[in-house]
Amino acid sequence: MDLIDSISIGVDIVYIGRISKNIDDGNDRFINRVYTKGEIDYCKNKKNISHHFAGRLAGKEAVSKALKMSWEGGINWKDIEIINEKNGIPRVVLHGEAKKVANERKIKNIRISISHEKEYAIAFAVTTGDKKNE
Amino acid sequence: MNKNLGYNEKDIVDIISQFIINNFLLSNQKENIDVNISLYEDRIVDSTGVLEIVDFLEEKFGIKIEDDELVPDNLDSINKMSKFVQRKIDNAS
Repeated sequence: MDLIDSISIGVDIVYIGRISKNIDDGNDRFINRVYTKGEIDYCKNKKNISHHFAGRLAGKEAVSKALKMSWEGGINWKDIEIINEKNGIPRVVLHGEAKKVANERKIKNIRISISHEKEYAIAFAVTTGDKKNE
Repeated sequence: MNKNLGYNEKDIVDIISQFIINNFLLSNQKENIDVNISLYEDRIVDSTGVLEIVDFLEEKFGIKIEDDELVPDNLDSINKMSKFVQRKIDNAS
């Protein structure tokens, strides 16, 4: 990053109990609407499934805030995918409308950090891009 | 598939209002809910709440809501949700 770069941030917090309620009732509609297959496989292989789904959702929302996306054109939460590097660090992969928005804003980098405690998951996202396109 | 052809407009408003009251309003807000206020702008419903509402509408009314239908014009107030659900039911019948 250099001095002409612009920075945008986004943060979100999710109450894990809300996610548990939506994924423990035996239907997959909520999960299939929000998460990619890769995200679902990742979270379902974890001990605390709800914590990881909640962290992913907080991450998607944090990225959408950093990208300054609105829901005027509809929301496809799978357009913001959060994968993990081999060392466990989360990385953002954009698709569809989210990718289009990032390209239009000349976003160069997106970084995200996710954490969860017993009841809440939180995520913080930072984007950097060309200031001329802010 | 539409399994809820028996709902009239008032039924739909009442069912959605009750869901919002039970899941999103504080106890001191539960009287006299306004079916026209923006639930998102008034911070009654957040982005996770929108997903919960969509899940409820699909389950309760037997409709399928597409991602490009998750817009304020369809979901931002109880009244807008009710009209949206009614259109989905009408189109499916």
